[in-house]
Amino acid sequence: MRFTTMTNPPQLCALLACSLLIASCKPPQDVEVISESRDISSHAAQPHADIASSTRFFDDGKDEEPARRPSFRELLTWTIPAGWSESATPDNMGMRLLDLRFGPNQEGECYISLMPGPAGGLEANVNRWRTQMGQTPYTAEEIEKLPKKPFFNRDASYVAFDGDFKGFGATEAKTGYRLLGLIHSADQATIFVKLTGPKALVEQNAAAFDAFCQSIRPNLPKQE
Amino acid sequence: MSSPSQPQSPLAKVIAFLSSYGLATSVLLMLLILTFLGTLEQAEHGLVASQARYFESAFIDRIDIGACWRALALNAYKDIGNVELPLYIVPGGYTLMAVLFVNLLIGGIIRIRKSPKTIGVIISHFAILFMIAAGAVTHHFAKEGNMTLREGETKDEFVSFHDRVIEIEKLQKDPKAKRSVLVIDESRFRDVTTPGQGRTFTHESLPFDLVITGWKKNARPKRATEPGRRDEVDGYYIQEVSNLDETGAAMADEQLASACIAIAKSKSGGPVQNGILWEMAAAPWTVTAGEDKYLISLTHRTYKLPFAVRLDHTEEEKHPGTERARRFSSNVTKLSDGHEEKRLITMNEPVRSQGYAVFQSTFSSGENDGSGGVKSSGFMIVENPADHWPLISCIIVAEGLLLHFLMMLARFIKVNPWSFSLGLIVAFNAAFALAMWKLL
Repeated sequence: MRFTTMTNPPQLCALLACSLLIASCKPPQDVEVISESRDISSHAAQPHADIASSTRFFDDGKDEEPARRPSFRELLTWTIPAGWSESATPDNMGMRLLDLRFGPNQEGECYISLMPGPAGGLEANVNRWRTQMGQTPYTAEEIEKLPKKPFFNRDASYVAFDGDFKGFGATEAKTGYRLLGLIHSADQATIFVKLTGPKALVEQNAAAFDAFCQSIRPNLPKQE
Repeated sequence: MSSPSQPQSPLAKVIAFLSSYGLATSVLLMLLILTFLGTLEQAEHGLVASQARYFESAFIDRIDIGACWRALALNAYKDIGNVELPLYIVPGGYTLMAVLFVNLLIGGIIRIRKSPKTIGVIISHFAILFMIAAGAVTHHFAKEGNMTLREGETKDEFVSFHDRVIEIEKLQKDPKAKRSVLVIDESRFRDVTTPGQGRTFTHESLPFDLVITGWKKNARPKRATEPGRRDEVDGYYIQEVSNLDETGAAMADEQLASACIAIAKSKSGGPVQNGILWEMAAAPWTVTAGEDKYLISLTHRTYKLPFAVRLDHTEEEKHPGTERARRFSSNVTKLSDGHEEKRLITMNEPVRSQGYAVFQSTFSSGENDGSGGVKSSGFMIVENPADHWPLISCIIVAEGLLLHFLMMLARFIKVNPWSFSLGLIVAFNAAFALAMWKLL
């Protein structure tokens, strides 16, 4: 019988490499025998048995306060123009941080809403408003040429157009309306201020709208 | 070496492949990619999880494309959400380093042409092999953990930062009796995450089998207020908690608290007992078997020191006029075989003994932690047989490359390579030693 021996170092290394590559951990089984143990130090604290779960889990028995949902409304401050007032009924969509009414029959409305991120972009939002007013969408060039107004220490796009207003969920359009709007878009959030109402009423309140927009500020924590 | 005309045997082909430049380049390129991906994923998955997935694994099971995308801030342009790429045969860092070791051993040490021209390169290759070996030794044998001592307290154990275990201790009736625990490593049960999936652990000394199920990496027990919860155990259930902090960054592994459900099934047909094991629990779960009681806890792995440490006095020094800590220091007594030795430990001046290094890492004045004003120190304890190996290998790499380039220079300027190179290396080393001596 002839035995062969592997005396070539490269061959040995190749064998070593294969051994390394095929080495694998023992996979867990459904039933395993505990094979490890250790002695506890004589310096270790004495254990306590039969401790109730409430003690083990630091449960003092008091009900936890439900996690407070962040209120975006608290992120801003504003000054409500004279003659305007907050709507008594919440908006259906729950999107409005502040929902104001004005006019003899409270037919004028102005609200602030805040959306995370770019919220679809300026063009989509302006044209959504255009559509609500029964107007054709602006082109990208027209969007680019929109006038700017200072808002939050930055420029915000300002829109003003007339038409027949048909808000979200409305079945009939309200004729002879005017819409004023300000959109400030940033990567983190987009803030909208939108005013709608009969054209004459809106024109009467245009200056108040500007003042209201200028009064909107971030609600920074007060320095102690 | 076989001549070009002779056909290569299959073994020779394998050896040629394992020692090839192409393999070395491919492995280094893959290590580069793994380092890149691991660094990106670390932002959301944390350091320990990323290291385990990319650098310590034999194979990579998946890449979290979404996490990498967000780490590169590309979500500012397009949010792709949570996208994962499942992988099955992509080698992880462990496999790649093993292949690199073999490649370097065969190609850079054994098969390389041995001549005065290559001696510097061979020395450097040897040093790199030594560094890879240091990594393997550290990975497999290093222990790192924490020991907290209050003034006057003595301990000879420390707990791992990252390794978790379940420990089962039979409660001794005699408080002076020798105590021991059975240990189940986390790797044996951390895959039983889904309800209904469990693993049974048994031991001849236990009167029950322990079934572990519903393991969660970061969780807390919550009081079950709604009746009829299927996962309720003794009025509580395990609520999974996000691994991300308020800023969206991954929490450090040691901040996570794992939890699982344990079911003790009596071997003699007694009642089944259920309990929740939680890393942060104030006390172990108790299983009663006849007159005996067993304490079961999910905890960090405990290591024994070959000596005990007593904290005599600890002090915090602050930067003048501020509350910022400048220095923590602890006067300790090292107790070993009846001998007492006074030592001072500070943040940058560890005590080294019997292969262990003890660093001061934290300090507590005891005023706000409910310990009644008793000061305490937290010590980081490291045992690494390959502690200084990377430094040694770096020095050898530098010496080897220096020798190689000096010999090339000597041949270029036509002087004796050996006397020129070795003379300059001796001079460099002497200057370096002098500088270190002056600095230190």
